[in-house]
Amino acid sequence: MPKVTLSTSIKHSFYTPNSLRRKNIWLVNLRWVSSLALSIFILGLFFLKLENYPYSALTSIVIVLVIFNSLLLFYLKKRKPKYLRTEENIVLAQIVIDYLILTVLTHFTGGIDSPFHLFYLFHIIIASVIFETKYLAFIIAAVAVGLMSMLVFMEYWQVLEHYSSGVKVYNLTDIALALAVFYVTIFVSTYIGATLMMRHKKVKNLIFAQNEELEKSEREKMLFFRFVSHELKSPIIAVQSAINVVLDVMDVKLKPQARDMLERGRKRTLQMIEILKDLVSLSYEEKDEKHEVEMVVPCEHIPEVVDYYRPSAVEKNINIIETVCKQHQGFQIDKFVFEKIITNLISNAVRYTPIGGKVTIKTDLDDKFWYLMVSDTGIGIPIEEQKHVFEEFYRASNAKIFEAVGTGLGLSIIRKMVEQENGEIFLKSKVGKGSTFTVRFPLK
Amino acid sequence: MPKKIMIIDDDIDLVEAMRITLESDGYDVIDAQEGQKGLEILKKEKPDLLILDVMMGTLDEGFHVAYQIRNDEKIKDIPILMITAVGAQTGFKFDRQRDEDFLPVNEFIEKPINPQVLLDTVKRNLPVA
Repeated sequence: MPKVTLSTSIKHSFYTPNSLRRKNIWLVNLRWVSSLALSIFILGLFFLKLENYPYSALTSIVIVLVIFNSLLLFYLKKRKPKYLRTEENIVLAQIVIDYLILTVLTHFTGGIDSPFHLFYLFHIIIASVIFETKYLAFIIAAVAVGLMSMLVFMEYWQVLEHYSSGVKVYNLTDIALALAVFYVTIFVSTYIGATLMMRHKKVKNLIFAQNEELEKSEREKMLFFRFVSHELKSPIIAVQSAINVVLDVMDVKLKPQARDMLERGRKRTLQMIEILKDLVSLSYEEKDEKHEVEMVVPCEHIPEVVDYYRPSAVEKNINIIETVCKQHQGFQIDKFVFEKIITNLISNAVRYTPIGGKVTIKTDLDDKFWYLMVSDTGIGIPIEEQKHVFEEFYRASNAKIFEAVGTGLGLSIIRKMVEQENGEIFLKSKVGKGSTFTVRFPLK
Repeated sequence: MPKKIMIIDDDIDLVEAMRITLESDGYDVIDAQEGQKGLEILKKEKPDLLILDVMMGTLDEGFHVAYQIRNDEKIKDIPILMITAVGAQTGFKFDRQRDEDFLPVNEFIEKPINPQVLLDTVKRNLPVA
């Protein structure tokens, strides 16, 4: 596997103006929830008849939150995300404004005694999750520490009133201890959060880069595969053409044995060409090989396909029977895939049916599906092997005896193509009696 | 006068197989192994029909040659049969009848060459005169 060099500075598709915008909207939604929660809290205080709290100030905070959030949402709806920096700044602005509001809330609920000062931690986590760089989380932490210290000291110096349920007079030591604990909590959380998130993002980038690398090598593999199949095909085609000319064109008197040997050679090269065709189809499964989806009228297409196979069937004295095609206005399907499915089913049927056999092609229709049934009087597939025949490279035990050469890819290719078109394939088979493959496609 | 058929194909063994087949039916056969050289000979010799391989130097050299012929007043009416390798490009075998908008050729023939198919196709596409 190619070695992937990792750079943590790679900004992958998950850090884009759009992804940041989604996070901005997420923050707005969180703020609705917190406004609601705060309202409930205030109502709770009111019903518990706790009188020390300044209700009007707290209610004002809720109103400010709602107004700020509405304005922000209006702004976000109006402007499409364009620049990474702008979106980063909006996130930062949201956090800083939240902190200002939180500081006011903390002030009105008791300053250093307020349980709300724990909420400063939320934004630290949010910043660690959202930003690609550690330092922004630390800046947020510094803002939290700064605002909290300012509030506490202003209350201590009595610039601001200290709201509290109990009357407490703080000395400097108490405040210093409380703030120290707060600082440590904030910075340690920032460090842990940011470090973990950096590690997580590094892994995410690595997986992303490796995935890209894998996809690239897969594409290269397919190209190489196609190239090789083509290179293999050219000589075998030349051999086959040469034998054809000797047997069919040149008016040479060949000993029966010599003719027989050449016939064998022709048959084997033909098998080889069939295998290469399978291999080529396999390499074309790639999604980038998109064909046009078009209206296909089955009754018009099937006869063409069948006519193509008639000569090889006649050679084996196999009768291909088409029953009356159920007329239908047609359905949307990848025409290439549709015809490939039919050809592969018919060629398979002809291939595994002994001389003098019969291949029947039937179509049917109900209000949901269109059905194609290809039945043969061939060798059949043993029951215990039926579930495997759609697997890549699997060949039924009796198939190997009947036809020495084969890739075991035919049915797996058919199944993939059928599924690609939202269809299904079913098999009914009895050893010695024959097989019926039913394919159905939804009409819509 | 026997009809003159030209083959442009870089696989000399295939050219030989086709030559023997066509000569057995009384045609004169000339050939070239490469597109541009082939065009020169084609302009000079003015064959009655051209058999052209798709994949020569590049994946679609044959198409370029065909377009050049169709855009040249003096040779644009020469019927072109295009040879494609089985399952190449589209992995597809039939229903590629003449579509002038899409391809500037008269008909496709699949490799490997089946002598009878080749002779029938040539006969079908030769101008009546």
